[in-house]
Amino acid sequence: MESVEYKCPNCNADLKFNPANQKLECEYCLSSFTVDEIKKLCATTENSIPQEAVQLQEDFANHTHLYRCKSCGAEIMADDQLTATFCYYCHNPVILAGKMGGEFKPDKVIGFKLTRENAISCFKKWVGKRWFVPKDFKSQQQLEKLTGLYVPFWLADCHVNVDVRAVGKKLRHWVSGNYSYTETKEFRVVRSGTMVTRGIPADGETKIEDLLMEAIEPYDYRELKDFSMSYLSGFYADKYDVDKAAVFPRIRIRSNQACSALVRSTISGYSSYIPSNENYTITNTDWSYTLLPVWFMSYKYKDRIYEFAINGQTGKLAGTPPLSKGRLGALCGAIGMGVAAVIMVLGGALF
Amino acid sequence: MKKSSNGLRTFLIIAAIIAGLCGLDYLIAFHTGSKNLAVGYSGSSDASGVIDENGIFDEDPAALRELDQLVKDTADELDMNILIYLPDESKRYYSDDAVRDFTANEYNRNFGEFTDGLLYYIDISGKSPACDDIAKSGKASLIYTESVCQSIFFSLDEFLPPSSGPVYPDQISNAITHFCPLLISNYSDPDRSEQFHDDTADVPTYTYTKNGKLYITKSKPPMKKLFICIFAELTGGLVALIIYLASRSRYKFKSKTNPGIYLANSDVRFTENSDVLIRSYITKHRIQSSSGGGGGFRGGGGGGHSHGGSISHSSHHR
Repeated sequence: MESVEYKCPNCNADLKFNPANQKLECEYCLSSFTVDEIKKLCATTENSIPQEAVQLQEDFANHTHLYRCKSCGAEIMADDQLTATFCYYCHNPVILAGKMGGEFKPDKVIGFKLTRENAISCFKKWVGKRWFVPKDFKSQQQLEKLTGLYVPFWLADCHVNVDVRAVGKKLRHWVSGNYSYTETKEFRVVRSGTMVTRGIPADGETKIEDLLMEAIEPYDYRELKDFSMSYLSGFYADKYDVDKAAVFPRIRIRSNQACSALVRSTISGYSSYIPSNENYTITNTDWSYTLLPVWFMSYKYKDRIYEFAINGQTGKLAGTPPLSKGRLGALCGAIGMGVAAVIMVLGGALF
Repeated sequence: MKKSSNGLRTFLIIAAIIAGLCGLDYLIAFHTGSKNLAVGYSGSSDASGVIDENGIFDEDPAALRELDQLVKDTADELDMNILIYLPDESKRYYSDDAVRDFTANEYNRNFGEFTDGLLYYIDISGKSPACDDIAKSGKASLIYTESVCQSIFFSLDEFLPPSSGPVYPDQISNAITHFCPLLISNYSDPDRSEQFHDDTADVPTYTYTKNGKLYITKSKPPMKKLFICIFAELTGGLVALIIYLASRSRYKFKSKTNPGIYLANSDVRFTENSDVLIRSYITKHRIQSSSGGGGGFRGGGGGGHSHGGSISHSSHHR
């Protein structure tokens, strides 16, 4: 007897048939599809991996090494020329762990455009505005920790069915004699159709804070290239440890936010707007596993790791600067004492 | 373990700062006072008495002597100078401020600055309305407070003539003979919380008691200084806290990219995009009429005057 497995079009996890609603459901990303929808989608899906793709995966596996940090468990991917020195997350030495599996071969890559000098310049400019960072945070030694890193990202193109229904009210006021009049016009507002959010990225790396990676977006996808090991030369790279099923909830939230914002931008001129139905259903998701360039730096201060990232393509910087509470406290204390002294003098308490 | 030791350290630092501020406040409040100018009572009532500038007792000098003695006895009993002044017609056109200025200077001229005592000015100059005034100096400022003086004025109103009417010696005698016992009956040791600030004097001074002793100083009383110190420290602390929190907020991660950039207009296909009018209605409300408003009035203050020493006043119009 032949066994048939259907994969979720959004996250590629197994779909299970739910007799209650007669739909195939994904337990990971909570998508659901009718049997007809799945049949249509599967008809366009290629079932076998082409021979060239298998060859590429083998090449990737043979020329890529995996380094593992014994301290924090981070896994770092590098080409066979690289001698790994330290973990860029926790700054402990890393050791060679083995070959990288072919399933981690990325589809696309954006090469670094920002040189190390440019990245340092961006960082210096950013940190220059912050007076209360610890002194050694600005040191040359710290700047040397700036690491060029290819971060694994899942890029998702989400096909979204939109169905929004609402009641909008327009009010008009006027006064005549001793009476004030209000005219209320109620409109049935309907927005339905399809939208495609393209290239919403989600990093597939648990070690890096998701918000940090979201903060250095966007990347210019016009510069996406097919992956080649040559891009890794001179830089570090991570392999994903979060699969697309796990990042899909994040993607779905951002896709829905984008669609919702656009729909709302088309509804204007109303004094009030009461939605009765707002459905954004992702019917299909196209994935691309991509390496994106990030200049990355971590800084350990008082038992806490502070992470900084600079978009290796655009130079956009994000991160939480460490705060030297002692220095800030001393300055605030001095200002507070100054204020108190002025009040005492003006109030006549000192003489 | 480390967290609890950090907490203890923070607690100890805060406790040390508070203790330091308390010590500083104590030093500033109680050990930075200026010289005590209080002179007190000379022990002699020679200068006390009644000055009859009006000449109302010219016909009966014995009555004046009797009143003078009564005032001197009262001064001795209360350990303070007492002078009763009966002005002539030349002060008829004095403003209230001019009266107060005159009484203050007259007191200082007779008894000296910063002494204990009072001058009761019974306005029989013909000024209308008559402006009686009690100019007080030293401990009298703290004992005969405004409320005490007003009660004395009201008690004497029944003996004193109306401002525009004729003045008879008996009326003045009765007023003075009632005034002295009223001073005695209202005498009590100055309340510790009572203090007086004379900002009309040539050199503004503060009159207060500390440990049962009268002080007249150019600097503020210790409790007032303490209050200012605490207020200043709280304000300074608040300013420091606001700056600290505002600065710290700049060290928080805030940046977030708008996901709208991943949705291009070309990827939007509306199959239905409609705004259909479903109903329309008009409501009307009667406008509540309101009327009102009103004028205000402003009271004006008197002009300033200056004098030496530290003199407080209680005035009363007849």
